[in-house]
Amino acid sequence: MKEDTIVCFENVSFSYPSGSLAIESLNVNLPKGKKIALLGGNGAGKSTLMLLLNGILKPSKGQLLYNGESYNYNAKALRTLRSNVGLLFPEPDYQLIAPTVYEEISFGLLNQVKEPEEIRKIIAKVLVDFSLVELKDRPPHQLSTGQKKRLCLAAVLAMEPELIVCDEPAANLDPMYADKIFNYLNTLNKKGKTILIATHDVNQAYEWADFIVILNEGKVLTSGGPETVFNCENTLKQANLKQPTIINIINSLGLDSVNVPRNIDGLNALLKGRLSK
Amino acid sequence: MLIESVYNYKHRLVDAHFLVKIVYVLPAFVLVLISENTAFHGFAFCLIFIACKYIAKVPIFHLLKLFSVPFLFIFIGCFTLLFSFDKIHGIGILDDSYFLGIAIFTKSMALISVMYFFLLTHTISEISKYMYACKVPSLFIELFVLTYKFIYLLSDTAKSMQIAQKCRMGDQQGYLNTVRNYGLLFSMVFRHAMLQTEQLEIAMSARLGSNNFVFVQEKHAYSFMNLLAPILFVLLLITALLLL
Ligand SMILES: Nc1ncnc2c1ncn2[C@@H]1O[C@H](COP(=O)(O)OP(=O)(O)OP(=O)(O)O)[C@@H](O)[C@H]1O
Ligand SMILES: [Mg+2]
Repeated sequence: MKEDTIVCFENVSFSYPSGSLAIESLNVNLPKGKKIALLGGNGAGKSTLMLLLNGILKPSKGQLLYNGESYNYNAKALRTLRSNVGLLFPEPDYQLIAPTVYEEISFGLLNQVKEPEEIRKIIAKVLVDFSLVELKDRPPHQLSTGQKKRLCLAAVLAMEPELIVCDEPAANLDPMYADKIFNYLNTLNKKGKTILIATHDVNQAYEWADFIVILNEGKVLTSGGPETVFNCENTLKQANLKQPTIINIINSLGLDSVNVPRNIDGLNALLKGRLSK
Repeated sequence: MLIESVYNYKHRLVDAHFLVKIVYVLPAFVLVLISENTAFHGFAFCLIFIACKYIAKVPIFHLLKLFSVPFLFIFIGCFTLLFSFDKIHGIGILDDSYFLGIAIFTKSMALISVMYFFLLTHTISEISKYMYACKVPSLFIELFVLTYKFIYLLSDTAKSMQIAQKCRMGDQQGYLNTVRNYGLLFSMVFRHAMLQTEQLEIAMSARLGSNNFVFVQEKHAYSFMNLLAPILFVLLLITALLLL
């Protein structure tokens, strides 16, 4: 086990009561302080892996280690674990509890912070960060899907967990809010938090993540930095994924650049440089 | 029609302290309840109706729709009160029952308007806060909030399932088919509700919840100036009671 690993999966298997084996002898180390993207096709086991991380599911074989200590599934240990590992579910409808947006954000906090005044301060800040001020008195079930999603994220992030696990954070969001959420995740990452997202969007993952894990049929296909992982087209195909557009363009144009650009701006600069030569 | 579908989340009392709101509602309620004056009831109804329009900021059309349901029930109830029957005179309207009918009708409408004003300016959480203040057992309050939540989960599920069903089966089906489809629909809705409960529980435990529906509400400051408008409102009602 390396020093800078936040969660380590040791030979973890998990099968649902119905019998389907969702995770099969999985070994992976999630590096601390990094932006990690978990990629995989439908049914690859991403959501299951995330539920394992939060201690909601217990592996049928193997174990998980948080900061080198193995997961303990008694009530008290789970509380500590869950205040360290925040989990955002993909369907917002099933995680909104309170009758108003304001109270929704207070729910998790109340289990963490005891002073109501302290909680109100945090909520006020979070409402501004996620542009929810206008909606604060509305009942969550009246919001649009994207607004609900934003609220769920706000409610989880308000608790400031060490490891933030988001299952498809940008699904159903318009590009502006998707950007906003990734920016917010970035600022949290700069504060030292580890972030793990599950997604099918290879372009997003390529641009944003420092570390990629590709899952297929409950097993890790590859993991590593985005440049190395995305270069291998066959592996990607095996996992129902495509190569990111930028790598694809560079490879098909035969540009052998030393640092492959990570975003469109970088690609533009590279192409302009080449064309002017 | 549900109150919530007409509730305006930008009404004038959003940021008001609960004391300000209660000064509007409680005295009006008590005055209407103790008074036996029909003219006063009529006046109170009109005043509160106007308050619903300008303070709760609900459009007049919605208000009319909202009031039409209880109106109908009360009207029919009072209408039957009017008639008396005996062997000599047959059916007729007595003076007494005429006045009784009118009195009950106006009083009920005035009370209902107060109730609506209360509902249109308070969210569920504020109502639950009053319940806490009144020392209602927390089990009941949680049940109240949960019921509210599940009404929406269920109705949303039912709505989307019904749409999906219509899309697949078409609108024109025999009577028997309709019955069978509704049976299917309801069984699916209940299965869904079970799943949703499970998911909700998972989500709550993921956020350290321990099955308690406890939240923190926003705190609103208040000053004497804020109380001016509701006090004026109450004074208006009292003068009306004295004059009419
Ligand atoms: N509640 C459940 N009961 C039984 N089997 C399940 C359950 N949830 C998931 N599975 C199975 O476990 C496997 C992994 O599912 P999982 O939800 O983790 O996939 P995923 O990678 O999140 O997919 P997607 O991209 O579609 O969200 C699938 O084969 C699925 O059928
Ligand atoms: Mg999933």
